[in-house]
Amino acid sequence: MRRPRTITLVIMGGGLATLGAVALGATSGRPCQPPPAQPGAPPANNTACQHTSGWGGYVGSGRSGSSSDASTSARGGFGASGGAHAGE
Amino acid sequence: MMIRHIFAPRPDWRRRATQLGFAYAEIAGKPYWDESAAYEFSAAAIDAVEAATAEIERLCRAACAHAVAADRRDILGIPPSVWPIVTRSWQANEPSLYGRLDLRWDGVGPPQLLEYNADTPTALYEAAVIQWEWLTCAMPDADQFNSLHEALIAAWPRMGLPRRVHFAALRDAVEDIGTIDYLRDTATQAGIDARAIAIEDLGWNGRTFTDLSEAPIKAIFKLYPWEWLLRDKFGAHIADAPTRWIEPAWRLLLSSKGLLALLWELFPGHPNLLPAYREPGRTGGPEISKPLFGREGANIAAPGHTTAGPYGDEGRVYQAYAELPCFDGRYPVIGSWLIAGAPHGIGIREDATPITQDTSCFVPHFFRPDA
Repeated sequence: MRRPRTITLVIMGGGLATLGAVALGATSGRPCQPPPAQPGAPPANNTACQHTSGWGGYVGSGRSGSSSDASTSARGGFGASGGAHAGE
Repeated sequence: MMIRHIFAPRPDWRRRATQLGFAYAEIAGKPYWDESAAYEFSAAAIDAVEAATAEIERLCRAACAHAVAADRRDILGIPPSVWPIVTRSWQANEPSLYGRLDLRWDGVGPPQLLEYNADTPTALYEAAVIQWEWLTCAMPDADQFNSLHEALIAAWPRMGLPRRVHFAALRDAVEDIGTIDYLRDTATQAGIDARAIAIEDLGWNGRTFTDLSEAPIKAIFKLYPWEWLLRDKFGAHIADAPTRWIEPAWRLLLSSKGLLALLWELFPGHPNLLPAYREPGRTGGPEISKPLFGREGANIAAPGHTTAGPYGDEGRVYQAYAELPCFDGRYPVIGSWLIAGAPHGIGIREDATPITQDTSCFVPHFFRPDA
């Protein structure tokens, strides 16, 4: 027996598709579990980022590509790195 | 138990894929979705891969905590200028939505970690929905290790996000866009106002990142690696902007393949790990060398196999070479998914070579609950 499962899509395939109320039941339901606690401490001090070069050239206080006019943002500041797609 | 079966593809599989919005079922005219085969597992095998996934995730979270506490950025290859944004993200407990472990497994011994796709994993829609749709047609009495869709919808409200979240990918990347569209689908069902935007269209107004209507971006899912974000021109603004990023910056600790060396240092001999070091020749046997921030099997050097690509200048990790198991001349990798840190399903990609690349096919799986 396979577990009950209905998949509803609201965007993919134009949306409002529903796969199945197919039949059901099984060990693999693997029902949703609460996320594990993510270990960590209180937020650190807001250490200013410095820079080196390459992608280490990131500068926390930089203003490259910034605009002083809040009504017209500068654009095109992301997307230059990497190849044809970014997934892995 | 893990068996590869030959199946007759459904005559209308392309139509079905199109109806479900699966835009990359074929890539460059060749099937990426391949239902001419499927892998069968026993229920015990599924339990084993689920348990291994949870265990590796536990090790990885411990490795993150150690890396931050002991300043191990060197072994991970993370530049000193980037380290503060990574450690702040970890210490702030910024939640992760998803990740995928690539496992070497033959269904018999312990699954072993090949790498952790922790920042921009794809192959999600086909794992969550497409292979389930196949199951309902091809193996209606069987089951599948797959509760990804439900888990994603359940995870979004626990992320602590504002009502509006933007979703960004490269404008022309079909697979990436398909992935963020699917994630928008799940977010929408969770009550989030999920807006799509090309990563190239993100704006900066001097105070905050903006969308094309000049509205501030308070939270954004970006299918774009952190090391690329920080290299780009606007990367300079990330530390100052009041924007939540998903996946958060601490995922760099896991997406660096230096993680493999750190894990082996912290947990030597663990059955779910392979020996790995930042220096060659220390594993005591054949090695596979991987760029720290390589992607999709590019720039790999393994015995008898090398791949091309643009990566490797950032340093490498040297992992004991354990060739993938071979079934009918095909080499499968188990992609084991974590949603909000918990295992929720697998997807299998296989190739005609032991190196899984962006051209490798996705094949479905099933198991018999009482087997």
